[in-house]
Amino acid sequence: MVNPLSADIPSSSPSSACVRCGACMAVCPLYDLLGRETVVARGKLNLWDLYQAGGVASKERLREVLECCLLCGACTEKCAVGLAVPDLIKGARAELRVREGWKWSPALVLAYLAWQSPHLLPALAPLAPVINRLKSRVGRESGLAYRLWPHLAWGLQGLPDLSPVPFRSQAPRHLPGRGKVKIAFFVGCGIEAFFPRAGQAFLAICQHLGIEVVIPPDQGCCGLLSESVGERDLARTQGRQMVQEFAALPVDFVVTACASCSYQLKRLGVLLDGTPEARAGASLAAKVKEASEFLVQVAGYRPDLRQLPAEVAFHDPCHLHRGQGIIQEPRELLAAATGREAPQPRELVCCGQGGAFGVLYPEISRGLGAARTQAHRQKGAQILATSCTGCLVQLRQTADNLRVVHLLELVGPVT
Amino acid sequence: MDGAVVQDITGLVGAQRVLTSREERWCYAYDATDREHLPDLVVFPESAEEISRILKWANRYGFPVVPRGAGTGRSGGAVPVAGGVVLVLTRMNRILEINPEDLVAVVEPGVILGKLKAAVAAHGLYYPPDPGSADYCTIGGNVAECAGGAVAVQYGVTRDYVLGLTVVLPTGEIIDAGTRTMKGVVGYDLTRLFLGSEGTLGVITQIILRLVPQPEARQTLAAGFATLEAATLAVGEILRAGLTPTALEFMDGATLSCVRDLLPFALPAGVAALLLLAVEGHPRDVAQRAGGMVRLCREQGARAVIHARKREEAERLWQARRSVSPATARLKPQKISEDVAVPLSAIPKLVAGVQEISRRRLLPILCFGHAGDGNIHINVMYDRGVEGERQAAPRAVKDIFTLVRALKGTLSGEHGIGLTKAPYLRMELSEEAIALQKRLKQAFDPNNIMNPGKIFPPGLRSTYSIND
Repeated sequence: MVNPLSADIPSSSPSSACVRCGACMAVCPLYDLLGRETVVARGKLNLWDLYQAGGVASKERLREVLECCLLCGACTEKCAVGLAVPDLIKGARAELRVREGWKWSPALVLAYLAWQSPHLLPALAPLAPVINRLKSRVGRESGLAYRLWPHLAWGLQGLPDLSPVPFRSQAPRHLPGRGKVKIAFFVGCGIEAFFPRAGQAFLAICQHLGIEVVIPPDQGCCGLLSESVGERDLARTQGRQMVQEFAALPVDFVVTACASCSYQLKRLGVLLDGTPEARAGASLAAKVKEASEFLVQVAGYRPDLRQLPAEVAFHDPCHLHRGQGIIQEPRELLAAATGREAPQPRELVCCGQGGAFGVLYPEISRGLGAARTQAHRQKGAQILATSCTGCLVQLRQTADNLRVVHLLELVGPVT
Repeated sequence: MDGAVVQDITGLVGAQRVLTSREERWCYAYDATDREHLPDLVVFPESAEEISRILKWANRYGFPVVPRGAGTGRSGGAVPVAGGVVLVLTRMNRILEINPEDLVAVVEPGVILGKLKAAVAAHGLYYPPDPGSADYCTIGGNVAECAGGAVAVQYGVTRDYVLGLTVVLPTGEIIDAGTRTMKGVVGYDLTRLFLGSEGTLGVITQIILRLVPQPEARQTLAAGFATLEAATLAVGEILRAGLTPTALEFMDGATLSCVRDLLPFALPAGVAALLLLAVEGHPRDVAQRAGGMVRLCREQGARAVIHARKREEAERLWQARRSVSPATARLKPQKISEDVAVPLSAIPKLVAGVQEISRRRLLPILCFGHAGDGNIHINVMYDRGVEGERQAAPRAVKDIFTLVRALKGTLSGEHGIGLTKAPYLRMELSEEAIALQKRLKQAFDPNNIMNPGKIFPPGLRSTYSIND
């Protein structure tokens, strides 16, 4: 399958390959909502061409236009000439960053926070209750921070509570196996800070299956956020850290329970292309598996049937179904665990989180998220499972009467 | 454009419904062609009254106004070549009425065609015209360009479904044209005059559409032939046999070579042309007509006939047809796509003649499309970077138009003249006919503010500009 989020077109390739047919307008969630060509691929790519030709007057306006994209890849599936739009947009953001310089933005703060999260989180953990309380205050619309930095405040307010104990402080560094497969577990910021239960669920399944797991202590952030906001050098630095930490490990696979992380790690070869770590990056990328992909395809895991008190639906993360072509695996796990077929077609619409989009455009982002959770509830779902921590953050804050959980929490071994 | 005018318009519709920055305006500078020109202002009107005010100002201050739907036109109709105001009608997108008793729908111009089709289907009704861009083009653009599509063989084109219109004239008056009845002969048929007028005679703000019952059954066939001639002859046979195909599409050998590996089925060796047929109607009637077509194709020497009775199989076949456009990019980076139409009996001669032009001009030229109504899409493929090819491409186009006229055909079946074909208008219309059309245009639009620079052969001005 052609990977619509990342084809072989170099990200700096001229967008003039756009034939302007306008098909992207049929599927772009932002165009559907806002009705402006500036938000859709055709408009962005043609504006980028104008910039390349020296015809753009306001770099700021251009930056805003480029920022207003979810990188969901829906347009690429519909594109008459198969343009890898998310790659082109990320490439354009990076090029603009290099050519026009740094510009303060809440998205950048988030990317740098994610970069530093491996150091920050353990240090902050004892303060988690205080931070969580502060966070809700900062977000309150009457607050000072809200008046100063409304986007940041709103974005912070939407984040789930910090886990009082980060995942790696509660998990072992090594889980002995029973001689079958050996894997390294990449945790990622989301599971580390907010959703350690998903990581624990994955470890429980591995233990149940006798799979040996190592959790390298100094792992960082996958770099997806930095690349999304145009900080390509930072993303490369993070990629190199990944290679240093994981490439030499004597493991069969590197598995992560976040679809966005696995998407990014599978691109390590592309990201590090032209650097000394390119080859090591590519061979590491080849070992990366998303959790459901690993459990179904490699480990042959079939969850035991259990009684779930409610109807379960699955939200397909863009980075999972478009980015990695993984559609059936999570459904197979759910079907086995619930005893019900999961005929639900893959979800074509992004949850609205879109990397840093949720921070830059909180209002639009929430609207998109609420539309997803409402749609699932109307179809009778009471539990919504997904497997990307970005989607989890987004869907949790827009879910009324709908429990949003990581898929792995529903399919663990029955004890 | 005068800053005071921009202020007036902004005051009228509100700052939220105008785009003034160069960056945002650029996103409304083009359509689905390679032409572009920066407008001075982009406005999203929400009522005929707002449009009327803007058009009156246009006459007073002398700025051009270009109506735009989704900007998916194939001839440059929505490109604001003379600058001015682009009126984007996408916010006027209400379906005002779907009336199963009268078999009509009343809609605003910004409704997306696919959404309209789905909305009427929910009432068991059918709006047949189906241009390839149905999922994202607007009904207003369809009316202004008189869009067609694959099912024209049986159902006709947009003009056959428009009963009446509300139009803001270039001078600002708001008029109704036509009826909401099947018949109507009161006065001149202004409705038809607006159909395909490419936004040069006014701004359409409401459309009364004729609907038909949703057909109960649909089947799809594909038939592969060893020669192009056999395939085009079979087209004639099928049409003459009274089997009434709903759609009858074809792809020539060059097109097939592009999509061969994208097809959902293995094409037998020696197939040089493919026919795709759809049949809609009552289930028994559909079965009978489809059966007749299978027989006829076999009699005409088809190497392989695939009969898709199920929806999924059929969808796979149509996917092959839709994959033509993306696949052509594999041949050459640039293409000039024409949509000529010829009388049905002339299709074999047209296709053979185009092959000859392709050999003479040393360019790949693809023929595919709506064989059932004589509307053949011809893509002249070339590489802008190769001097010889860049010069040969427009010459090949002219050769094709000359051939089409010799065969008593027309330069454009459904895309319109717009900008791209305006230089060729005289190949089809006499000086007298053009003069009359210009007088008509002047009667509607004395100050030439409404989408100037379209249809009529230009004093050839450059249409590429990235400067104000």
